[in-house]
Amino acid sequence: MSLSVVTRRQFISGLLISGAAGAGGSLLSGCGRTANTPLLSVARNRKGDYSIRIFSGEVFQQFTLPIPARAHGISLHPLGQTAVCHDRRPGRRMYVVDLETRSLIHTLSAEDNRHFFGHGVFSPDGDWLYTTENNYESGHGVIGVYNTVTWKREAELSSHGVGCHQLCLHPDGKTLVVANGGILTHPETPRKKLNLDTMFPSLSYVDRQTGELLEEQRFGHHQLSIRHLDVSPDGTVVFGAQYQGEKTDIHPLVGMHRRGESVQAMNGSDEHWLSLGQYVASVACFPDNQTAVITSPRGNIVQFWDLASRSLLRRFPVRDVAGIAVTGVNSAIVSNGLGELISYQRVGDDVSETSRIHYPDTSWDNHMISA
Amino acid sequence: MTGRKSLLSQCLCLGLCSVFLLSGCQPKPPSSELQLAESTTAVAQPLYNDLVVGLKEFHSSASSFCSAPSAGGLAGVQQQWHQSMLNWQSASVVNFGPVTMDSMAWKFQFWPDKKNLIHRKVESEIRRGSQSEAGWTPASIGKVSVVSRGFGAAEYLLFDPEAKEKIAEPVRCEYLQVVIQDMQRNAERLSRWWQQGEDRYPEELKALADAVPATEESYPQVSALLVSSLHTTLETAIRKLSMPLGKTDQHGNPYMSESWRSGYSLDNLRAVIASTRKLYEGGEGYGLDERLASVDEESRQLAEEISIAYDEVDKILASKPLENISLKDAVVDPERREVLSSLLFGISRIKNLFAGKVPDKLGIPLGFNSNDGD
Repeated sequence: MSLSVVTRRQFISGLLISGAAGAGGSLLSGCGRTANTPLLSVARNRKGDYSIRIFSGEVFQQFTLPIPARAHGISLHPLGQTAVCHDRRPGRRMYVVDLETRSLIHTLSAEDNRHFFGHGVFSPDGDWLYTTENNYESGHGVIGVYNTVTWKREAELSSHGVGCHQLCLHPDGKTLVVANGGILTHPETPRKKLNLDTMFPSLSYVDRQTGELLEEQRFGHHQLSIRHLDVSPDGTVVFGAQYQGEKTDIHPLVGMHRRGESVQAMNGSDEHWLSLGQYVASVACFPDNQTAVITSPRGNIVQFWDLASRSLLRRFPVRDVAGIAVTGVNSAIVSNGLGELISYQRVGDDVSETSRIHYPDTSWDNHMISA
Repeated sequence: MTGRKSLLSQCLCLGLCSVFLLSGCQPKPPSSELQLAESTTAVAQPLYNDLVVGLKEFHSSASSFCSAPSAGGLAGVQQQWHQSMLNWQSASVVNFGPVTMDSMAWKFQFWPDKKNLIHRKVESEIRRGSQSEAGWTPASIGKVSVVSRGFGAAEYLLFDPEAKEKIAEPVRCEYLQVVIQDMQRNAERLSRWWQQGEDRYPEELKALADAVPATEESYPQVSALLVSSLHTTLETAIRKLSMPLGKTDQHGNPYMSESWRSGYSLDNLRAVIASTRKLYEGGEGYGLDERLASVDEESRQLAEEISIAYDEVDKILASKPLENISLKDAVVDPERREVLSSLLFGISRIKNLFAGKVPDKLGIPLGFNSNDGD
């Protein structure tokens, strides 16, 4: 573990802004999300080394925890002291990070005939961790259930689909909302998609205790792979899709759903969808229940959507953009493969960029969270 | 680096040295990133200016034809479409900055059109507009799907026999003029953003050159923009060739050619390749080629390798088998298919250098999330 100082000038300026007395003092010291909330993401440096980074989006400080391979999503324990970083498919490791000591405390391995799909979520009391996994013998998506005291895998639920990717906890505390991407893969041909003609994605609501399928929704074309999602405090699920067909086929790539209602696509124009390059990488909802942010590294674009009108508020060009961390009621930071962190804030019906910093020798990976 | 460029650089260097010697002070020379920012602006400004001028002439020629239709007049409008399309192909290489702000590229060109959507959507828009009292205006066309706007829609109206046959001349003319006006307005917006001035893009580009301290760990942001832009454009150029060639089908897919209705696909490709080279070399100024050559001996050889690869591609594009023939016809001719395959190989070679060795040498992270996300 090391504290990387970006540049002397930037570091000093960071200390000045944070008012920290010593190196690293400003990170992880507060309660709740503030402008200087610590962020977590996986990153790669120029040498090709991967690490979990704990860092600031406002001041230039970071802690680096080396890991052997590229990972994907990060789940935060409700008490905020532990986070779990998930291997990306077809990886078989999960890393448990103690955020107080900023150290890796466990590395867990997938069960036989299972690999991770890259995401997880804790139960409201933090006693259980649910992870998306592939049963690659049967090809079905499963949800691994881990005891967070012993870190043993104690049960498995069906995801009720194929290629489950991201899952979130519904605000009712009982229901897991699962994006079943529908794409069949096998670790022997790790990045190959095996069922593009017959894929059948779904949005599933699963009882986290019984595994019962409570509700299932489909979204348009069968090749619209629902991959990433987030849930607003009021229960509105916003999801982003990755279309597996032609580059210029026009389909909405962002939709929303509330339990008991039908799925609705956002009110985007042809050009709004085309500009995403058929690919949404991350989705995040603001705590205001009114705003969703999505990123597309293939379209080099960030879009902000208004949930009441389902209309596009603003879009910003950002190269290789991917991660989104919500940092306040109406604000978020996005990250990109060029090491940039860009802050945005919604005020009324407008969204504006509020700050931008750069971490040298850093490619931020697909997902980012605030701790 | 071209001979002319070397000479210019030497003159500039001698001139600057004399000024410094005479004045007795030693001002800090501009960083290579700043020089790149300036040469990129010098390349981009005329490209967007040509786009504006070409579209103005295209509109004027369409207006004359529409007020007194004739076969000769139509040929003139078609020629103006061709010239404007070439201008767009050249300008589209600069795919960063203003053009990204409003997904503008889609408003100029919807491609590839594998399902012949342009035909369907233009006809449907014409039906809708013909039945409405308001018809079309430059403002209303802004709300129409990008499929029924831009160069693709104009090409359909001007070159497709079905459009000529099915759509009444006054309607075709009215819609065509609005489509051109829409592109003209967008081109003017882009061109304005590329002009010098406070809050204009050239200033932003210069700020980008200064944004990151030149430490060993930082990456050069203007170089990154250029490499990423060249890589993306060449990737698209490869698709423009590989789609009509087809992977294994010896007969090819002629209707996958970019401008199959007008038959100008190969000219488009020539314009794109020439423009990528101009952007890479910084026009007559300091280019990525010089930036690369200054890194180390291996990079200097890499810059030479790119230059040779471009020369070979230029040679194929200018070769006899590809003279006076459309890509649509060339892909179904066995001998020409071989030439096109060599061309595809040549462009892929340049693209691969911009995807691998060049970013490595310049320390640029390229496509971490876009090329291998999840």
